[in-house]
Amino acid sequence: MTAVHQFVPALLPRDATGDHTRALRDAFRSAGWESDIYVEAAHDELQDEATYFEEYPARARPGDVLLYQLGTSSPVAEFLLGRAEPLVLDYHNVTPESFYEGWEDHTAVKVALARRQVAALAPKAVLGIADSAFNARELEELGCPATTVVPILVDLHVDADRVDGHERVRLAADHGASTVLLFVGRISPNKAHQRLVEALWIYRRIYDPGARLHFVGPAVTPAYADAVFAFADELGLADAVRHGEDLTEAELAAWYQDADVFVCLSEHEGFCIPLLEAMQAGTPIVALDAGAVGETLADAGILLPTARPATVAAAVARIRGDTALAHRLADAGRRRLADFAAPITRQRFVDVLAGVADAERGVA
Amino acid sequence: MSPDVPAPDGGPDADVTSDVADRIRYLDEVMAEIDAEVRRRRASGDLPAGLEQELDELFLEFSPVGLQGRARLRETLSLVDGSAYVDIAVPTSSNKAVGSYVKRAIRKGLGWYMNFVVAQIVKFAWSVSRMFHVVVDHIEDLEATVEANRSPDLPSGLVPATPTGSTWWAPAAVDALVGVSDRVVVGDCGDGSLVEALTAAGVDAYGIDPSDIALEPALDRGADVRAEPVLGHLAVVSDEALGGIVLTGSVQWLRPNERVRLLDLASTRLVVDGILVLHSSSPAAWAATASPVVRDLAPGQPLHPETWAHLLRSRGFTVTATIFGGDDRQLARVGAGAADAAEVNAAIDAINDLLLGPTEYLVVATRER
Amino acid sequence: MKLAFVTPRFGTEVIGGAETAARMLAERLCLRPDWEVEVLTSCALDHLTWENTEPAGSTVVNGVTVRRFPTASRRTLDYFALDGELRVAPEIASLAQSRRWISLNGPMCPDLVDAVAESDADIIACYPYLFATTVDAIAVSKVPVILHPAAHDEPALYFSAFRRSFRDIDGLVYHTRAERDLMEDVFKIGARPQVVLGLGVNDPAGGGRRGSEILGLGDRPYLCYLGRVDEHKGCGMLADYFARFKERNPSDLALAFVGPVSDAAPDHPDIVVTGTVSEADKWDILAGARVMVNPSAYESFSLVVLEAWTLGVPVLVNGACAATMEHCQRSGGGLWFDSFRSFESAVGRLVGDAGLRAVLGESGKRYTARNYLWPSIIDQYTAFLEGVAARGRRAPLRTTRLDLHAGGTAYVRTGGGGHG
Repeated sequence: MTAVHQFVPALLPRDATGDHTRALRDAFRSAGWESDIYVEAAHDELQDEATYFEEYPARARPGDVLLYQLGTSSPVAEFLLGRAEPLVLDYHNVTPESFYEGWEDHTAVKVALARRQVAALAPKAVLGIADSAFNARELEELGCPATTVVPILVDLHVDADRVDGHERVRLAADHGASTVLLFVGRISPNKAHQRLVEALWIYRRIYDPGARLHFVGPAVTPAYADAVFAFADELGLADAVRHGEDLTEAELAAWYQDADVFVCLSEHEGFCIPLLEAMQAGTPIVALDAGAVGETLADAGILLPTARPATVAAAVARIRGDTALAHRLADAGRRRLADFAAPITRQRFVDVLAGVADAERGVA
Repeated sequence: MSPDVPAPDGGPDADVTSDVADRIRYLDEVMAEIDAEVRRRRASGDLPAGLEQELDELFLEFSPVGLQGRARLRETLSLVDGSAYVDIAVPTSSNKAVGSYVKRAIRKGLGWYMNFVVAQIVKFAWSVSRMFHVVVDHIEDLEATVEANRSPDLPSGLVPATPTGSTWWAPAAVDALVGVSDRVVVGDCGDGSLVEALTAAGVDAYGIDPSDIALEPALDRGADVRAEPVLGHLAVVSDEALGGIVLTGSVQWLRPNERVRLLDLASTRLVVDGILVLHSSSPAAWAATASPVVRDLAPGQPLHPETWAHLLRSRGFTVTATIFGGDDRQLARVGAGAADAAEVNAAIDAINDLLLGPTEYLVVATRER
Repeated sequence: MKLAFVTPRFGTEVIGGAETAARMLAERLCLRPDWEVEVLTSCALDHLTWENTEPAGSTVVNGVTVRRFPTASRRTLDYFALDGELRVAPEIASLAQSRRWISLNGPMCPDLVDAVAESDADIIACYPYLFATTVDAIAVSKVPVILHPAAHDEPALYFSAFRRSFRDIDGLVYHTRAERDLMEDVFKIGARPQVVLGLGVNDPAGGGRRGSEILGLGDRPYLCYLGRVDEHKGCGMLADYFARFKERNPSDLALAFVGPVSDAAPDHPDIVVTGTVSEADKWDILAGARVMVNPSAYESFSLVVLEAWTLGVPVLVNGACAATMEHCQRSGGGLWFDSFRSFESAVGRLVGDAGLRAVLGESGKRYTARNYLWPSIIDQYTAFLEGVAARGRRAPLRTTRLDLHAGGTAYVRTGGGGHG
């Protein structure tokens, strides 16, 4: 019986990696395999879905294939380096430490450690699965013998009922007819929130003096978040920037639908799920071509070669002034979304892992 | 690696290809329109020079990315010095009278112990701070040494003077710069005639020249000129603050690393779509006509226009024109009736080509994105 | 066209280089038929306390319309605490801290700032850089705003709040090239429209008496120092050097300190301290001096040097002072010293060589006539102002005003002494 067990540093609810891991476990079990999740830590709500990783040796069986959800540093990595079972990496990328230097030195140290762990694991793995070609290239450069690209398993419900109508009304009342730019993502230095503030300033100066900028996402790097909001204050934009935190799925959907343009100027992304969420909501997208953004977006948005605020503002203005373009982009987004449909991705994962399991059995 | 990225649209190949090609073309057009819109806004003054740059720099005020260079070393050092002293006089004032008395008594009792401990800490901290001083001194010595090993400048008495009055290339420079909305600097402007021609054409131009004496006529006429050398001036201009830069004179004999510095400064101080106009003698004309003393002592010499074009392109410029002019000392061909006309003319053509072509040139370039 | 000066203090009683310069410019400019000048200033005359001592409202002083607005805060002890903390490392003080310093330094005049925002002037001219009125005026002005920095190389210059503020100005007017070099180096504003104006020198107004008689020196030759007698201005050093010079080179040469006394000069048989004297006496004393000595290392322009030159009197300046050195080097009208030795040899040569004194004095006189007469200065100024007005106002990055500081223990000045 095929057994593919997953290892992940932390299992959290309402978290991209956590959702991905649990969805994969369900997919593997539906394929008739044994599949458990081993962690360093699990949220209270998910205690019964996870087992402490040091208990694995007692349960290990011949033929087990181990799949490591790799995105941050963890003692799990060291543990896996010492195991003999065939190891498959599912690599979600680690933000380079240069982004954190000065902002949060302890995080910089942590990500530097994570990168070292990736470098140690890559050559040891039998296969590296990556969310994007951008991520796959990194694994290859580190000596991973084989890589393949499979996107994150996202289960985007296309369900009108899941939009919080009250939230939509509240948002609309707040900004009226003004243009709304939206970005969803953790407030951390690699996501370049300050560039969005600059773009808003220029946009208000030239195109729409009442335009707004909506941020959704936790301030995981408090020093950076403080600087971004202080910067916005300094530019007189305190009333033009809104920060949504701890939103429910339905509220988040409302923010997406409410926005006129989704703008992403992130300088480093391994995949960027919010792009898919924007596509689902039919929100036109403007994004900086950095990391895996271009891959994920393909032709479903305006891809900019630069994050210069004047160019970003002109791109947003172009969409606002041309409903045909907005519709074309929304259509392209829905088409692109189909490429990431959960059943397709689920099947890809199952096929890939089955291939690994078969190969190992053949060898053994 | 298997290319398993889901490609846009998995339909029948032929349709897919043309569909995809259409969409790509459409997006390219949109991108081109966006670029054109940005250019329009710059030209109209909605986006003054350096505005985006200033926004970036404003954010730096809030970020831990701080000082560069020497200032950072010295300032950090003063902080270290300031914190190297540990004060054991614990504040003893308190809201309650009794409290104050109690605190003072404790302090006195433990004073001897605290003294000892603090002395150790202060000694350590001070030696650390001393170490930093040593390092900083050493670095400054090194910097000074590097600076001292430069080759000497051309003595100021030998520097060829900028010709006074109008030049053959002034009209072409004015043409290239007319319509630029931000400030334009004319380097080595001499008596300021080009600055005035530009101003008359509606360009917001100002001039710089290292020689006070050369500038006197310009200053008397009230032109906006000042005594500064080009490199020194561009260093104190902020990024994207200029719509145009005119270079002549000393740009021809810069030492190689200064030339690199000048190109770096020109490329960052100009706005995107800003215009660079560079005037120079041709190397051949310099060799033939500059005084031997100048030629021997100048730290550098004129380049060919192709070389400037190459250097500019490597820094993100597009060369839009190369114009030749100056004294043309070409020999005239003999008439068809003269003896051995064909051979003589062939020789004349060869001499003209090799030795006597146009003596000066003008390169016009635009800073790309 | 209409120009509005914004300056923290104003008035004939205000003795301060920058404030006096602003007043002189204003008074001369408003004599031009096509120019109207008003001054927006505070009701305070003392920059150490910012107490409102003058009544608010509009008056006319020497032809200039002066509008006074009350200050809304006094200088508190918090200023001194923060200043002590920040001046050690000004460049790495945060933006918030440096803005707090500026608001504590004052003067905070909300009504004045409102008046700037609503001004019908064509141009606003702020003078000098260091004060809250300047920073706020630049933030709120809707018309082109220029700055007369009157800057020195001092810790406050490096505060990031000034850097941010000065990127928003439309033009700069400097006293000297050295000041321009300093400002451009620190703020990278080389491409901004600018002019090095300096100050105009008034015509000599002596009473015709002999300087040495006024000083009670009979026929003795003398060096003179003109200005506030103060440690900061190098008077202690000058007295000391002079005493040593006299020991090593006995003669009947004397030294006169002419001006209000802040720090008493040491007693010496050959040093005369006159205290404040009348304008006429000042010119007469200057005219009779062999050499005018300016030992200060911190001059921003030094009008006295030019005044000496209008009389053809050579000068001796401190080699460490950029402004006076610039004058000497450009004019050839003076010598400089950077140690006792160079002081001794310079004084020796000057006192002994009448021909040298004449040549230096002549050169200085020509330089002053060429560059620093009021008519040509005002001509240059108006041409500059017209250019600035034609270009229009840059888009300011910020329009937020400084926070009015509240609380803290009020600082009360004790004792007399000269103004800052």
